[in-house]
Parts: sequence; structure tokens; C-alpha cells
Amino acid sequence: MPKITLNGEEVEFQEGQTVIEVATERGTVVPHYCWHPALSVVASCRICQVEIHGPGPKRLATACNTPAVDGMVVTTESDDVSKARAGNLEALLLNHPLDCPICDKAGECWLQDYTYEYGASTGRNDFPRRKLEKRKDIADHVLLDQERCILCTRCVRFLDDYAKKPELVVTSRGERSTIDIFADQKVTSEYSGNLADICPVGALTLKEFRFVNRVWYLRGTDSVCPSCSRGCSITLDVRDNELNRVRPRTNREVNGWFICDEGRFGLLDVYHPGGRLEHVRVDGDDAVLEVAARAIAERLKADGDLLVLASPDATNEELFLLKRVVGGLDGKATLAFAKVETADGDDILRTGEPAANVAGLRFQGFEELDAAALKRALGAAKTAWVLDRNVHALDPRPGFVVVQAVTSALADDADVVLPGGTVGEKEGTLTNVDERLQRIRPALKPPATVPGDFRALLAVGEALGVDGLPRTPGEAFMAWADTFGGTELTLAGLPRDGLLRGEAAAPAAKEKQA
Amino acid sequence: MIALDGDAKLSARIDELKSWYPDPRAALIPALHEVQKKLQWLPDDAVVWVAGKFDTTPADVEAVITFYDMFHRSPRGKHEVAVCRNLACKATGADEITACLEKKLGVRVGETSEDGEISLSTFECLGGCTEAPIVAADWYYHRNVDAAKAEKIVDDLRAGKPAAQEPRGEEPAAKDGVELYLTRRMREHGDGPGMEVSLDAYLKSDGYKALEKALSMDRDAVIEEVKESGLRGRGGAGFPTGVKWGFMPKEPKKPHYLAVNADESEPGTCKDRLLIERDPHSLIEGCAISAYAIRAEKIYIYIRGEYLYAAEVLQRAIEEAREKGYLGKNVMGKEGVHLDAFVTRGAGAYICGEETAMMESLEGKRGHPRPKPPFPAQSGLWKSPTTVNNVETLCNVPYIVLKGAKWYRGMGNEKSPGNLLYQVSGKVKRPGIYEMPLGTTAKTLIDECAGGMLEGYEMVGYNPGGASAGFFPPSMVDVALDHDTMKEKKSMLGTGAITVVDQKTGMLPAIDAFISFFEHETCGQCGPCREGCGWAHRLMRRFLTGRAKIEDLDVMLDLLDNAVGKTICVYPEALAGPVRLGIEHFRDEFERAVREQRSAASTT
Ligand SMILES: Cc1cc2nc3c(=O)[nH]c(=O)nc-3n(C[C@H](O)[C@H](O)[C@H](O)COP(=O)(O)O)c2cc1C
Ligand code: SF4
Ligand code: SF4
Ligand code: SF4
Ligand code: FES
Repeated sequence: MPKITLNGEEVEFQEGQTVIEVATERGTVVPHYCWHPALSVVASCRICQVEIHGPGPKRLATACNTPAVDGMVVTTESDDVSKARAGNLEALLLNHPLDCPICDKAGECWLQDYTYEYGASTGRNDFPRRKLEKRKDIADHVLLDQERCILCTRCVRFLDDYAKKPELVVTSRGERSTIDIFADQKVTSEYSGNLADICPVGALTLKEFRFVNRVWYLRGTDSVCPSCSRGCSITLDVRDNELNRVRPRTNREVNGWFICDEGRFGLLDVYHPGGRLEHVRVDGDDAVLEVAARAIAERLKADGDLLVLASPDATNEELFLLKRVVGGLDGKATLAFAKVETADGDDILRTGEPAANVAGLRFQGFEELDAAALKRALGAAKTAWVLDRNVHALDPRPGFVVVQAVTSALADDADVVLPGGTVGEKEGTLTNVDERLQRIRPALKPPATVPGDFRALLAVGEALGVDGLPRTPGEAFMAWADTFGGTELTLAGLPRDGLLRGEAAAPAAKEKQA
Repeated sequence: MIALDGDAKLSARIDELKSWYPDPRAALIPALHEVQKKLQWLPDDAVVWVAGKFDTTPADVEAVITFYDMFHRSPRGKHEVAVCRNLACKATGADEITACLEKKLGVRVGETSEDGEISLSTFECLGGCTEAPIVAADWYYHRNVDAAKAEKIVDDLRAGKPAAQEPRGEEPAAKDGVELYLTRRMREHGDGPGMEVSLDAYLKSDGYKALEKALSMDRDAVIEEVKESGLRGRGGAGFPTGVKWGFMPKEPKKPHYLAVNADESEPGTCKDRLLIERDPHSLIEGCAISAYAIRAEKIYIYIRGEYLYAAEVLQRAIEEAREKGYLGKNVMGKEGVHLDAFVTRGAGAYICGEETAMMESLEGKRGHPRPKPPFPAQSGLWKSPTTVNNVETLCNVPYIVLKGAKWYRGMGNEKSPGNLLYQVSGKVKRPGIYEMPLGTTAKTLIDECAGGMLEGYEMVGYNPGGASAGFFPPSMVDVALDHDTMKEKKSMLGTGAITVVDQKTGMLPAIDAFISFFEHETCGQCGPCREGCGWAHRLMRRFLTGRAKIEDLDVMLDLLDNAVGKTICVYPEALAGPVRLGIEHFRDEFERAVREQRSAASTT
């Protein structure tokens, strides 16, 4: 393999990689604005200057479009580099408004960061700054502040290269250049929220996050989007048990650097649902979990023929536990799930299948029931245990109905209600459309009276007297993985004990957000 | 849009334009010209309509429209009257003409007369410097305009007289004893209606003989001959032409292209327009030979949008050449050699003269220079190997092929052989385009060719090669204007444009005219250039308006240091011409301005 010397160390690279790619891969940060690993290279911001010591004369060059060549010697910091960056920042700051105290990007703004690192402490500009539109409504979720824009064109290229529809463009020329939409045609892309992430400054911000919070108060938790079966890697930013923001998390194997708007904004509601089931109930009255579990156990022991309608959003560990809980019953238990209605996806990320773990259900052998099959199964069952919040009616209604979900239209009519949890509250794994196993972590706490799915299932199992049940999602994962023979399906790069140590996100997911 | 949908001819024209290019997108700018010709401007629904034709979003089209000065997104009058505002025209009274037209039309620059007939604008250098001041009416040029003439131009438009180019004057001028080749034919055989050399006259004076000879040679032998001749590019950078051609792959894996740079927008420069308007077949022959040598079949000639008349002359000449088999299949009967040429008009953006910006613009996009590498010979137009050459460069080629490298080296000097079209403008007695051997001094050009300064005018400095070349003081008139000497003097030969600055114009306003030009024309991609040009311009303005500090000069120099060599293209180097050389040679003028403003302040 060819090598370059990067800051004194020899580094191997692959033919065709640029200096910034080689550096980034080994964790050396080269300041950049316009470069983004998922977008075409324009090399226009000029901040990524590094020093090339050879071959050829010593010189500055932009790392983002300089191909690495064997034997090249590169330093990413030097006096000349610092001077170039300082000069560059001075230019960018000439017309930049002094908005930091009121800017949503403050704290994660690259103009702030680099200025802190390289910028001169005093400005020499004594001209008034450019006045442009400060609050332009350019998309349902996104506002544009043209004054803050540094014209890196990431947003333009995102919509053109990635979303395949150039709806945001640079208009005019030279110092009069601005980012803009055409007339009143707002950005229609279903991926518009990414604009705010890729904008290195506070020029593109989310209406949903505008002045909601200062970023440094937020706690981020790695998670996976359950809104469709792509299962994009995301970060849930939470403050005071409230989900304030959903961000994509880099995962080259699944979603790259981006997520769709439905995932990003939908979860703000999905994870704080209205009309949430908050109390365990038996025959319409509030009850403690053990009482409810006992009622279910008695029913199942007395009268078999159970139909389980599992949730397509359940974790693999919950599904495994569920199978263990009902596995010991004498009567017949049908493990099934109601067919998920799919819409058209797109050829970017959205699969159109609005559920997190259909692949997991299939893998564990749950039977998929279409409307007719569901009707037949309900007719044959004496008891229905409905864990799917999307089942709105039971026709015919079996004699005994258990509802276990976050919300449910069936709750008022159920014999037993077990409040479930959202994916954002859970620990465990989900299997995406490509059968990739992905880790989720709890970012939110359910209300105190909600037992959550895993605990509720465990209580029923205990009431039934099943032995050797896994007591935590971690144990469940171990036991489950054992059933399918070890690690190769412990799913590409997701080691079993890694999960238990709580650090098992796919390796690529560790990459710094670009 | 109903008006456009109903126009079958327009749609057919757009389809025809699309067929010229491997990617139909390239027809976007020509199509916008067509639509604007019909509507005078580009309203929202026209933008939507065009976007539909090109299968893209209106925003994408808007991005292109707003890059170019000739396109309008607000209503315009039936006629467009544009006055040049750069140095040569300024020195010869353009500002007074603008003021006179403002008064006559009752509008300010940028506005339209109340009757909706005439919109008035000012433009950066229109490329008529030796016939300054220039006023363009519907993009047909009028030369040596004064107030009375300007009023007549407007009256004629209002009276419905069709706009037409005013015939050229007694050019090109020449100095006795100089062997002419570039301008010989147009002086001796300019028999066409616009004094251009007709195809007949061209053929009678050995026209297309060079192409015939080249076609009988091996392609690489043609390249060798041009290499031998030492011909260097006339577009500004002076790169050896034969060497450039040699970079093209010898065995094409993709189609090769020749892209001809007729964007000529460097203030002071007007020689390519002369060549095209007066001797279009020389250019076509040069193109054909070059395309043959570099194994290209398609020749795209990118001409600045303002040169409407030149584009028409060239288009007609191409059609004649096609008819007579100098272009087309099996050129001049040579089996397997197919060539064709197309004229693409730009739309008002100096940066499109930078070769990679030109290629972007040719592809129907904003004229943003591309990062290099890759170089055009690897990946140019439509990612295919491309050679870019200037008009004048290519016009040299037929003579080199016909008369040989040795003959060519007999003119000019060792490192800069051949003749150059020097353009002398400003308050001299005989402004004009002079074909002179490379290395001629400014003194010879100004005093001998142009006859010295006009009565009552005194030279306070001069621009030695187009705006990017900056300014020299009168003490430096002995400098030989060739590549190496100019480089030694921290300037560049540039385009051979010499604009003399007189005492009434003044050095600081002259420097400001160029800095203002660069501020207006930067493409704006790179932070240091975009912001730096604006900052430099604002600082410079202060020296004219009376709020400057002498330290501002250091800031100007420093902001240039922060941009030169650190951006995508060499534009900051171009800005450095007027700034660095202006400060180096005319510091006392800046200092005086600061002193005078201070004393003015203390007396008020
Ligand atoms: C800002 C800028 C403007 C330019 N404008 C022109 C132009 O108008 N015409 C031209 O031929 N070359 C122009 N050039 C030079 C071209 O990039 C290129 O070098 C030239 O067309 C190559 O042709 P040549 O080798 O025949 O000179 C410009 C370069 C820069 C950087
Ligand atoms: S809005 Fe943001 S992403 Fe878009 S060009 Fe400006 S700074 Fe870059
Ligand atoms: S594509 Fe699917 S998984 Fe990804 S963010 Fe959108 S809804 Fe969520
Ligand atoms: S240097 Fe200036 S003109 Fe050249 S690409 Fe950058 S911004 Fe555009
Ligand atoms: S990151 Fe390299 S030029 Fe912008």
C-alpha cells in the first residue's frame, strides 16, 4: 500500500484518496467548511490548507482536493498554515454578523471553533457589515439567515447531489452572492432537516430547534430511528427528559451522514405521544403490575389458544423474552404480527415500511398476518395479547384481550392494559431492512407508573412460573444469540459482549460527525 | 408560460441549440438569450418555463441567470443602452455620456424610461477601448461616442430604426516597416459589408492553404511545428501553445474538444473582437488546424455575450466554411477528418474568461472556475480532454503552418516570438490596435504608433497589459512589453492592452476603476477572494472620498497576501496588479490624498 507521512507518521492510504480523507480516517482533524465526505468536492472555502513538503516544492495546498501520492510529506499545522487560516477567517468574518449570543449554532459552530483556534483577536474591518435577509422561510422546517452564511455551498450540493433536486442555490455573483430559493418555491425535499446539520455555521437552522435550547445543555444518546425499516443511526438530544432534537449519526453502512425529515421531526411527537397509556389496568381499574401479570397468567393457564400480535417496533430482546414467556404454555400460542402497511419509499433512505423491526420479527419466526389471516386467527383464539399499537380493532374480539403498548385504540375495551414504552426508552437491538443488527440505548425515561415492555413481559413470565428467564435486555441478547449459533449473526461487527459492556454500536458509527 | 408555449419557433430553436452539445444542458445560456430577446427580461414564469425545457428546477436556472450581468430578472425596456464604465471610456468621457443619457431619458442607471422604450445601464469594459467611449444599443456598438451621438442613438431607437453595429474606423493602424501577418488581410482585403475579409477575398489571399497543408501532415508534426515556433498563448498567461497541445492524449478514449476563448473582457483589451469582426476565416482556419492536431472534432467558441455583432459575423463565416467543406465531414476531402464549430455566447461575466470557468459556462452553468488538477487536457469540457486557446493565439497558427516556425521566430524575440496586437487607448492622438513584434516598448507604442498624448494631456502613468497588469509610472515607458521583461517588473504581458492615464483622469481614479472592476467580477466562490475584493474596493474608495488612513494601504496589501496563491484560480493575482503596483509606484498619490483630506477636514 502507498504511504504518506502525515505530521511525522507514516500512514497507508488507498489510491484515489485525498489528503483530507487520509487524515480524517486516522482521526487528524483538518479544518474544513465546504468539504463533506458525502458531497462533491468544490474546494472553495480554502480553509483546509495544509503544508506539503514534497514531492515538489514546499507549498500550501487544500487538503480536500489534493490527491495523496506515495511518499508525500504533509503537515496539517505550521506557521504558514496558521497564517493562511487566520487570513481566511478574517475574510469570512468581515461581513459576518455578531450574532453568537443569539445563534442556535453557538457551541457547535465551526466559524466560532476555528476563529478561537486560529483567528486574530482584533478585527481590522471598520466598514458596516452586509445587510441581508435574517429569517427567510425556505422550507417547512428550515430558516435561512443569509447574513450568517459563509457560502460553503454544502446546502446547495446536498440538495443537488444527494436529494437530487437543486432547490437551494447560490444566486448573484461575487460579494453579492447569496443562498436562496426561487421565488416562493420552498425546499420540498423530505431530507431538509440535514441542511441544518451540514451548515457549518448558524445560517440554516431548524424551526423546531429555534431558541429551544442551548446546545451545551443537551445530552446526546446513540439510537436508531424506528420510523422506517432503514433504521438510520441517530442521536437523541435530550434535556430534562424531553427530546429536543434528533440528529443523524454517521454510519456509512446504513444512512451515511443523513436522515429523513420524518425520522427527525416525527420522533419529537412519537416519543412524547399524546394519550399515552400510563397505568396498568385490570378490568378497567388501575392495578399494580404483579396483579395484572397474575390475571394474564391465570387466563393463559385456564384457557389456551393465545394469539400474540407482536409489535413491529419491539426489540429483538423483547421478542425473544416474549417467546420464552409463552413458550411454556400448554395450550396453543400463535406468535404473529399484523402485516405492516408499506408505502412507496425513495431511492435514498426511506423504505416506506413504517416499522423498526419487521426483519427481527421474521427472523424470530413470528408469522405475518394480512387482514384476512388476522380475522381467521382472531376467530380461532380465545385470548389476544396485542403488543402492536397499530392494531385498532379486533374483529372478532376474543374472549380475553391484553393490550400492551404506548398508546392503543383498544385500551378502553381491554381486560388487561400494560403500558409499553417507546423505542427511545428502550435498551436492546433492532434489525433493519438489510438484516443489520443495531443497538439502541434508552434516552428517555417513561412516566414512573409505566413498567415498560421488558419488565411487563418479565412479570407475566414470572407469574406463569417460567424458569430461567433473562432478567435484562443484555442477558436476553446473549441467550438469544446463543440460539442462532454464535457470533457471525451477532451481526457484522457487533460483538456480543460488546453489547453487554454497552459499546456495541457498529464500528463505523463511531466516526465523528462530518 | 403561454407566450412561450405558443412560440413553436422558440422551442425549435432551443431544441436546435441543444443538439449542438453532447449534453443539452449546455444550451441553457443560449436559450435564456433567446427567451430574453422575446420578453426583454426573464420573469418568474419564464424561468419556470425554461427550467421545464431543461428538466431542472427554477432555482437552478435562477442561479445561472443571476450570475450573468446581461440577464434581467426585473422588467426592462424594449431597448437596452449600455455605456462602458471602465478606464479607457472613462478617460474619454463615458461618465459625461451616462449623465447626459440619464437626463435625456429621465432615469438613473439601471432604470427604464417612462415610455418603456429604453433601459439604461453601465457595463464594465465593453472591449472597444481604442474607439472609446463605447455605447452599445441592443448590443450593437457605437464608437467614439459623444453627447450628441449618444442622444442620436436613443432617438433612432425610439424612432424604430433597427439597431446596427457602427462600421469600424481606419483600423488596424500600422507602423511603417513592420511585417504584418495577423492584420495584413484585413488591411488589404477587407471587402465585406463590415469591412471584413469575405470568404472569396480570404481564399484569394491564400486562405485555407494552411489547413490544406496541415491536413497533409501528421497530426503530431503540426504540434511539433507550433512547438518549434515558440508561439505563446495570447490570452494572458503566455503558455507555449505547442506544449499545451502536446498534453492532449495521443489516443483518444473520449472525444476531444477545442474550446476557443473569445471572452475578451480584460479592461483595455479589444483585439480578439477586431480579429473576429474583420477576419473571421483566419480564426476558423486556426481552429480547424488546432482541432486536427489535438484530435478533436468539435470546436466550441465561447464569445462574450456583449460581442453580439462579432458572434453574428463568426456564425455566418462558420456556415460558409461548412458549405465549402472547410468544416464538416471529411474536411477538404481528407478522409476521416471531421470538424465542426459552434459559437456559444456568454452573458456578461469577466471570470468566464478564466479557462475552467469558461468550460463551466459553456456547459450551461454559473461560471465558477474549477479546482486544478485535473487540468483541461485531462478533464475539461464534459470531463473530456480539452484544449483552451485564445482567439489571437489561434489566428497565429495558420501562418506558422504555412510559413514555418523559422519564419515565425524572425519576429519578436527569443522567448516571445511573433507579433502581438497591442491595443493603445486613452488620451493619445491615434488610439488603435497595432500589430507589432513582441517586445516593443510602451514608448514606441504610445509615442510612435499612437502619436503621443493629445494636446493638453499629460501621461501620469499607464496600464501595460490589461487591468491585471496593474500600472507603471511614466518613467517606465521604456520597458519592453514581452513575457519575461514584464514578469521581471512584477507585472505581466497580459493581453497587450496599453491604457494611458492622463492627469485629468488621475492615477487614483484609474486604480479605483480596476479594483472596482475586480470587485464586481469575482465569481465569489472562495472566501478570501470574494471578501477580499470587496474589502479592497471599499478601502480604495476611501482614498477618493476622503476618509482614508495611510495604514489602509497595509491592510490592502495584507488581504492580498491572504488570497494570492490560496484560492481556486489566479484571480487574486489579477487584483494584485492594480493594488500592489499601484501602491508601489504611486504611493505618493495615496499619501497626498490622505494629506489633502486632512487639511480639508481641518478647514471645515
Ligand atoms: C480572471 C481571468 C480572466 C481571463 N480572461 C481571458 C479572456 O478573456 N480571454 C482569454 O483568451 N484568456 C483569458 N484568460 C486566460 C485563460 O484562462 C487561458 O489561459 C487562455 O484562454 C488560454 O489560451 P492561450 O494559451 O491561447 O492564451 C483569463 C484568465 C483569468 C485568470
Ligand atoms: S447556508 Fe450554510 S451550508 Fe449553505 S452555503 Fe451558507 S454556510 Fe454553507
Ligand atoms: S429513512 Fe427511515 S430510518 Fe431513516 S430517518 Fe427516515 S424514517 Fe428514520
Ligand atoms: S479566486 Fe476568486 S474568481 Fe477565482 S474561483 Fe475563487 S472566488 Fe472565484
Ligand atoms: S474544505 Fe477544502 S477548500 Fe473547503
